Amino acid sequence: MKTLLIAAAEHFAARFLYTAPVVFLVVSLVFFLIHLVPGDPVEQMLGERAQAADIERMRQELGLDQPVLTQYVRYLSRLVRGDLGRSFRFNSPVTQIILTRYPATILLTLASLLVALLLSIPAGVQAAVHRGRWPDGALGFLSLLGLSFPNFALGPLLILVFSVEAGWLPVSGSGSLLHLILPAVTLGTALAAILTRMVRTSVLEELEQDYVRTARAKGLAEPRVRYKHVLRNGLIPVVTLVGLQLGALLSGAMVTETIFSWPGIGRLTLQAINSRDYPLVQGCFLTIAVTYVLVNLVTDLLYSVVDPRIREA
Amino acid sequence: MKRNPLTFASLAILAVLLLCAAAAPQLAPLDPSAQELANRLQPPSSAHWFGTDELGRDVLSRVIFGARISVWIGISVVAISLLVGAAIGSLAGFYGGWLDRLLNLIVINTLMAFPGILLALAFVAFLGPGIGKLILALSLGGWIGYARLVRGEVLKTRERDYVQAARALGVRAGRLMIVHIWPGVVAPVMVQTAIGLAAVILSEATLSFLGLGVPPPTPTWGGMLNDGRAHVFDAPHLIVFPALSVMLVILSFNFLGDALRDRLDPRLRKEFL
Repeated sequence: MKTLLIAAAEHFAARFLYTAPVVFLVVSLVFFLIHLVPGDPVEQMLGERAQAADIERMRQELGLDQPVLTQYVRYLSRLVRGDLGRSFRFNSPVTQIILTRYPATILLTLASLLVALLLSIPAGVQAAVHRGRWPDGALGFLSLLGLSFPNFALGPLLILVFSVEAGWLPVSGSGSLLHLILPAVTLGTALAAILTRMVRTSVLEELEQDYVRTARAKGLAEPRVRYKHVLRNGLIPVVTLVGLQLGALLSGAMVTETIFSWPGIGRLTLQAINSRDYPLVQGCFLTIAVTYVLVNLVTDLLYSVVDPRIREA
Repeated sequence: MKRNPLTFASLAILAVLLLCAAAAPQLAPLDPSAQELANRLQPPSSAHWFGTDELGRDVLSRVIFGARISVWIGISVVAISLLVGAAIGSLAGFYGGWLDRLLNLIVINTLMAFPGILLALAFVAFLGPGIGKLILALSLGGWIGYARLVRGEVLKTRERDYVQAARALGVRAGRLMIVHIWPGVVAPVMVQTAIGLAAVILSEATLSFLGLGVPPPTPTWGGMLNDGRAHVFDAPHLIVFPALSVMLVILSFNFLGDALRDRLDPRLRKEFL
């Protein structure tokens, strides 16, 4: 037991040490993005009619009159204190703006994940159990359809059917559970398609195992065999896939939030880009990228807890 | 190879796509930019098979020209990504050591910290709109998948007996790579290319939808979907036709990728369509 704990601790420490330089490089890349802007970023922010004095004042306020290395060191030291600068458009700290919008994106992402799991687990199990027959083929086709239907096409079609024609759900906005349904379905459909295929493959492998034959020989009801015994083991690889796909959910949230006017960080990023609010753009990209890295780290750690072979590898 | 009607249907759809890309001016019934404000937001009819948009432009013509943009950007991005990714992946896989660690652990994993189209979005946001900049932005993240694939295949292949024998006979690294190692990499790269084309077309359409892709008045499927959102109540055809176009093309590339995988590497065959 002690050896197991030491192995786990060593694995966790190794993963943290591996992740730290990646986070540092991501932070640096986001900083240097603003220096990719051709010409003067301040002129881009303030527009063509801006006065020279205003441009110079803004440049000093943002520290862009300093050498790049000085700006970089200042950026890192502010970052350590949680200071992401000040939004030009909102005239508020970027950190504060992001913190007010971030929970909405988390809520949408988790709701999408729930939709995906609710759709994919029964579908994947049914496809596996009816392997080679029409339910398997039909679910396979549906999953491929779900993978191929981009969310920016699906969202407007769902609005057309459920909001415009049927009048059941609101077109856009937030504030109630009803507002969350269409965005969550839009964002969760592609993930449901991916997970269905994984659940099917995983359950098929488990159905071949001896313990399943034993359970059936003991007279257990088939639903109990499938959902209590097979699914428990079959979902282990699904955990990893969910973690890896959370990044895709985060980037997909940008489009979904735009379609449904959902007040999350994805929509905020686009608003910041359109208004050339570069401090806010930097803050949003940094938040999304670091979240993705940390989610991958947590997924990896969770997976090694669930499957000890990963720790020993 | 078992005949799969879905594969043939996919090939037919992709043939139509390529035809639209190559002969858009000949196939389109009208000029995609020609405006007829008196006929704006018309539903599908014999005069305009896909209807007209908010400026009276023929939607069918815009869908056909949109296919041209998608194919052009798709092929460009995949070509650049494949060249860069294959070169980097080959070097990392063949030489290993610090070069592999630098490329694989640091460069690739840092860029992969930007999920989905976020990296392309970041560059387009700062570089501004334009087809050339869009191709560059999509290629910046596009090469990673090819690099990882090629690196993995080169790592496997370089340990094979015939490669070791060639090395022992004094074959130089370049010839070793081109003559002995790369032929084994072609099959998985072809599968990845088919899937990669779908991904690029999807990314381009997504960026256009967000207003950060090819600038107007050039017709793009994503841009048409974005414009159509404002008329979801009174002109739903503005959403339906571009949405179906994107979906059919992506679906076809996915089917084609699966078919290629089944044909070229039976070990990876998936029975699930």
